[in-house]
Amino acid sequence: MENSFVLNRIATLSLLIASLGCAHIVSVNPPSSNLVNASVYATDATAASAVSGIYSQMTANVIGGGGRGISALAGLSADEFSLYPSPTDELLSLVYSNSLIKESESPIWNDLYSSIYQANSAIEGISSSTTMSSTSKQQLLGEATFVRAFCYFYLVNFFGDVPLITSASYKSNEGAARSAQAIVYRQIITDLGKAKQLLTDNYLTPAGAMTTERKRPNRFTAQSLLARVYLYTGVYDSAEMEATTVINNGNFYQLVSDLDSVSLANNSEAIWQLEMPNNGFNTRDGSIFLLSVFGGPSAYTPFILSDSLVHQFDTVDLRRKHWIDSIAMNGIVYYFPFKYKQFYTGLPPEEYPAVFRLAEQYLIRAEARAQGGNLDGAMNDLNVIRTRAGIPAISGLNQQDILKAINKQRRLELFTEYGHRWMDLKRSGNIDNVMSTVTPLKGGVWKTTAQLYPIPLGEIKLDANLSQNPGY
Amino acid sequence: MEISILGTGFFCPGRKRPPTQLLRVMKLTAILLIGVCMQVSAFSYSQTVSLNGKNMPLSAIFASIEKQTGLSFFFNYALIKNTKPVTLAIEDLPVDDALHEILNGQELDFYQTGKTIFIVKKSSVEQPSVVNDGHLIDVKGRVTNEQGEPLSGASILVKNGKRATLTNEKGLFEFKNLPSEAVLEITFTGYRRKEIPVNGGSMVSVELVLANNQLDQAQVIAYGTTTQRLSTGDVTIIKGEDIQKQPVSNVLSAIEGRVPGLFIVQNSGMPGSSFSVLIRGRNSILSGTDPLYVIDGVPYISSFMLPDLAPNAGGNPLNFINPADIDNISVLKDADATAIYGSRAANGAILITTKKGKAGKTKLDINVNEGGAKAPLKLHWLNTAQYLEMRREAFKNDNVIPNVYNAPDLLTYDSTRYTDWQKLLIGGTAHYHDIQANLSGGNSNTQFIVGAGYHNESTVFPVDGADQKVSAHFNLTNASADQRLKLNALVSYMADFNNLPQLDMTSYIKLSPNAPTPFNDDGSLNWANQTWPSGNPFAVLKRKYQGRTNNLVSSATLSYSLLKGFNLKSIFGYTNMQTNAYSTSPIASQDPIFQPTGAIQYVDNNLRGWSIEPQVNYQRKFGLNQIEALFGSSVQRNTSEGFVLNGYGYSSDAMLENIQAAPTLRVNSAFSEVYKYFALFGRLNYNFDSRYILALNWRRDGSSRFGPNNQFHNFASVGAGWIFTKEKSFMDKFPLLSFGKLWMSYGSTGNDQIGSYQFYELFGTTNYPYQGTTALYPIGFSNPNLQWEETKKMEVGLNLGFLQDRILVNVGYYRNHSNNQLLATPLPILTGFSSVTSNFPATVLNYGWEFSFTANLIKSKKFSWTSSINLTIPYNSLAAFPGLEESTYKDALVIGKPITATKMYHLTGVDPATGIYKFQSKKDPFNPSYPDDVVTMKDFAPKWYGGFQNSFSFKGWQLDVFFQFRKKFGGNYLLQLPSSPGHLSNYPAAVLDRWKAPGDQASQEMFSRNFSSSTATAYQYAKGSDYNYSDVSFLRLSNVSLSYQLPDPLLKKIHVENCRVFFHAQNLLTITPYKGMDPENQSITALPPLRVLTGGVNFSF
Repeated sequence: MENSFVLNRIATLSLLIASLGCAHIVSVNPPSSNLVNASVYATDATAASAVSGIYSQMTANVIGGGGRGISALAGLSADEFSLYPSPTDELLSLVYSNSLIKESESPIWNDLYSSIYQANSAIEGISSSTTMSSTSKQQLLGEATFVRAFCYFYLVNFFGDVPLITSASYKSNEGAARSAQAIVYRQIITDLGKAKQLLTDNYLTPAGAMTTERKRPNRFTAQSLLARVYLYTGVYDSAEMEATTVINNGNFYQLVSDLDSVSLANNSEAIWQLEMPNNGFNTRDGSIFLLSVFGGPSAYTPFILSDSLVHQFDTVDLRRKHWIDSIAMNGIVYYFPFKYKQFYTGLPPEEYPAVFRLAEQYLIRAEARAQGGNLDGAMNDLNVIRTRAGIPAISGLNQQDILKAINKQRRLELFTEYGHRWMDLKRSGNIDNVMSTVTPLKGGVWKTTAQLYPIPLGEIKLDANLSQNPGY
Repeated sequence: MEISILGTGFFCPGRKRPPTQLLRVMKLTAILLIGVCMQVSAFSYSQTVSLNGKNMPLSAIFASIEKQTGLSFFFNYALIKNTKPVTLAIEDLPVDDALHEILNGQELDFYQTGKTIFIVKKSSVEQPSVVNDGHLIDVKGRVTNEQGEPLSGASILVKNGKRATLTNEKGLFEFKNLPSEAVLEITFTGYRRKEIPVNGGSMVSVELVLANNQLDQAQVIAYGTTTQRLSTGDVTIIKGEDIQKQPVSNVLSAIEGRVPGLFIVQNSGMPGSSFSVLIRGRNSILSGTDPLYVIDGVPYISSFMLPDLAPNAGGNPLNFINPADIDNISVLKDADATAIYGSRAANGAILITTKKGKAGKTKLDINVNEGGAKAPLKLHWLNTAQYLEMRREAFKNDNVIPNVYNAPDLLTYDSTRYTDWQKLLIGGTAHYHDIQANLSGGNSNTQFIVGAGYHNESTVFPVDGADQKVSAHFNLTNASADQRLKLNALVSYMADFNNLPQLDMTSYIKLSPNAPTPFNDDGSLNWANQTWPSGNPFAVLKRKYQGRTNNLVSSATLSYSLLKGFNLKSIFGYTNMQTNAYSTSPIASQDPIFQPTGAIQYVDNNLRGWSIEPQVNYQRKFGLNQIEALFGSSVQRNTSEGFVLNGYGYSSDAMLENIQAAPTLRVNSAFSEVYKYFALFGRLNYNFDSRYILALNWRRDGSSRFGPNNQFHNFASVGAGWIFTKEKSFMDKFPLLSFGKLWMSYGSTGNDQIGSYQFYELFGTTNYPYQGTTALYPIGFSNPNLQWEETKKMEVGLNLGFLQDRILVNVGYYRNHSNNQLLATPLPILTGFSSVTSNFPATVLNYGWEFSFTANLIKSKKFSWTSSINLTIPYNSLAAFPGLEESTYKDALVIGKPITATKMYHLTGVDPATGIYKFQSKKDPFNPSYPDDVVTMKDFAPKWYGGFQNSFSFKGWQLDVFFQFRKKFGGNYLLQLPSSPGHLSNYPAAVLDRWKAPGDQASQEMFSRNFSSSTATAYQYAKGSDYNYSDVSFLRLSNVSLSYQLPDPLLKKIHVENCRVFFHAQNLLTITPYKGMDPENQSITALPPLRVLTGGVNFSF
């Protein structure tokens, strides 16, 4: 019957289709929503997108700020913030009372190593690319190398000795041991040296065109970090030299005269800023620190500027007026950082976090000069900062007093910015002195081992060669 | 070929008939066939006959009657060869009367069996057992079911004669030269065995009755059916009627406890919640452990890729399958049953067969079920006085003076206020409405069922809304008149509309008992100066969620009998599940002090899958040997795509649901996935005399989830069974034993439940561009060498039947080795990511015992009692892990211990001196260190579990009572809150037994509200200690179903064929040592499975 022949054919055909091309039948292309590694580093544009991805991820992690950002955590660890009781994030209480435990979460570790992986992956991908243009290769390699150094700088400062990961292969890295801080610093200096060579003076767009937007690091950014690293490692002449190069580039960098504009996007003082996403908000630090927006502190917005910091300012200090604001709630006045002024505008952000700005370079050079015996030069640099803040210039101090004055100005100029105060306390050797009075006020007991955060327990469990910091 | 066909009946031509005659008959057949087919398509048959004609030959008349009635005639051609043609005119005469009229004056008579009319010589009816001892005769026959449909492939054995044959596609068989006293034994899968003495007759009509005996009931297995009697694999069947006695919206909760080796946990009592399903323990250390779901032969998804807009969105894909449409479920466990599913069967398979129409009068069946559900509350929280005492004591212990910021509850809240948040937030009654209607019927060639259902379930939360499901089910089975060409088409569709809140309000029941009123006097939300620890609970209820899911499962199966014993078949399947959902955050749900704006999130998800599975089947019987072979192929492709869209910054709630009005709009994520799959498979079954059975399965699988180097792999199994009660010696020695089978199976299966594309090193796009261009970031490490995870399964089973199979006992021992584990191997984050998927040379062993016992204890006309019980005793152990000490698992796993076990600190009690938990430690009892002090290992897998069913029927009454039980350990409910007692949160009343002053012996450490105190640290250590290990065993009265069938006389009066009134109860009573809310989901922050009571009525017309 005809039916059967038709059916016969259908059945045979089905079997035939089924047995055709076994191998092809189960191969799939990458999903349309993604790119694969090889194609990312095939063109200048996609490679630039991958490097942009590092910055983009940074805006969302501890570098970008927020309630668990570096500025917030380091400010709590030091004496910059008072914590409103019972914050919703338990980590903050532990950081604040300098009583982190080995079980504590460690966003700084996780985020920085994640960025380091991205940088390593980009360095490897770009280096081995045969199809990218050499200018693009040079620029992007310079950026990625800079990022790696930048991340390691914060890692050593929070954790001490850390594993030095310079490749993207997990197989060779999963058993990494900690390297001595000196070795990590050596790597940072090498990377920054490379970045200095590879990067150009200009700020560029992802496509390599010149721009006034300071969203990607340039050569001066690398030198700014190099100056800081030399200062931290006591190589004062080099620190002074690097800082000088940045300071002397007046066509790029000038201290803003209006203190209110220090956080504005692409202001003249900014050396490197992160572009915040266009989601209606501005900076993430701004969105957590601006207590005026919330009607005062709460368990969600627990960051109150410590009285001890507020009282350090002279009454005439313009920074006290422009960078600190307060709100009264139930008869109590709460101070909060007001460097970032915008919360939610619903418009593209007007403010960006300043990862590096010129004022720090003056302070670096002042300190390097003071340490090297150039006391007048040191006071000159310090006075640049003092003058802008509207406080009298100083003169005729001895080296000890100059260093003290610089230290104080660092505290007042750079408060709640990228952990400067916490790191300064540690490198000055003065931390036990200061914290043994501060920590009890914060409800904890100071132990000198609290200078270093614990290596995350999860990492120690997974990497047998990792050791814990003392005291945890 | 000596038999020709006329419709579904047939002529038996004389032995030396010339071929021309045969051809002529066939032509006639063909013409008539078309007529019959056309008739068939009209779906209806009259049992009356009209005929009008002159000198009609009998054969033509019979053909016409067949056409009009769907009955079949059965006669020897020689018998009517010389009959007189008939002239008559009748109209709408019943068949009986018509035949009397027609045969009037002929030497013929007739009788009817089922749907077959036998035309015989007049005398033979009166003396059906003419015995012709010693003579050899030819016997022909036809085997049908109760509906008169021919059964093809039924086996006919001549007792003691070592001769056997199978029926052809028309249900016909023939023996030549048979002793006239021979006895035929007819067997067919799923039907009761029948013996027929030939008694010298040359024609036999056999009607087989569906087996009520569990041993002979058809079991749906991969690509076919079998029975428990002849199976060499482990298959458990749950009948639809047992599922439909339970008021559930996901079939998984209806089969919980009913299948040995199947362990199910319902994770929450919210409608549409998720389930954990494990068949025979956890095979895989980290990969998926979902079984393979197959609906009517078409693979169905086992989990969603839906981005979680809400914790419950699409918790389990079976939420979108209507339990009322299910005819039966087969759970396949061992190698023999699952190896043919190859790489996806390591975790077993659950085959769902939906209802099909049955031949017979068209029947309308309506089922209405109404009821309500409540959360079985039982947790005692602190009352206001106790709470305030706790808080004050905590401050005292911490040496901190309460102020309005750290203690709003002590200083600003009304200390006389008391709210039972548990009652307020989850103490409501959920309503349950369910109505199902089915129209079914058909004839021997075509059967159909059309079903529609509506299900509406609200919530116990104080909010309106419901999860509504509208479903339709359609199944059409058609066979050509010669039964060679068959089609089965089915469509199941469900539209789910859910506007219930997607946040579980149970997470708010820990609010302080003196917390302020959630509403101000003007009805607005009370924000209480931002002192709600996680917001006002009623603000959450102001968020609007709306989810729509449309689920389509469709398939068509075409089969054709090519040659004798050869059958070609292909299953075409298509599934589509679409979800569109949105949830809003209106300004009204947010604290105005934060100057909030409105936001909305949209989710769109689309899953499509198609599959083609062509197969060839061959069946043959040689004497006592029966073989069955299957070869087939499977091609599959699943596509999944979707996106999440966020709109922000609405300044007014009025425009919130208009995405176009969003001031800021952003695609939060977009994803797509293609999964391709290809397989060749085969099965060979050999059965000798239903005594020795051998089964071989093979499959070669390829999956797109694996790297190009390792895409294909072979899987195989062997099963063997020995029905020793077929051995004469046995039967004589153990007369009580009616059935005994010893069987074993061994084989390999695989697991591919890792995400797709893991062998590609992928980059994703960040949510926001950077500097105006797309930013890319690496998603994870790639591994191009990914392979299958393989599970080798072994099982030995013993099936026994006593007292004519009234008592059935099954005992099984299984031993599954899973190796080449596919793990998201954890990596230290310093490498860049926290894990990489890779194959690990580790072996996990699952073994255990499974028992089931079923007895028809009492079976009389008026009263019957059936009882069954099943019990599973599972074990799990890490058999091998080369290099464990160097691996990232060294602290998590121990060779020889279950992979479900965790290493823990040992809590030694509360230190009487300091009031803080103490632990066994080498260095510091207050600060145990990892891994030195994790001294005990506790297992969270069930120790044993099972179910106990009793069914009673008395006259029209039917009562079913089902208990499930499990012995298991789980978490301690006292350690489920994020921080130690003393914080701004309510706690279970049991925390009152705390340390207060030095020297106190207490079970709980002292109160503290300090996050960094040693009390707080000790609380976290306690969570990782054996104190967080408590007995969560339970015995649960899971289901009670009582129904009453209205008596016939009453039914006749109201013109209803059948009417049953019923009452169903689910989760009625739980006996447990666990003190938290529910020992099944073991959470004090998630809604426990609800207690559901419903009543309804079922009508058939």
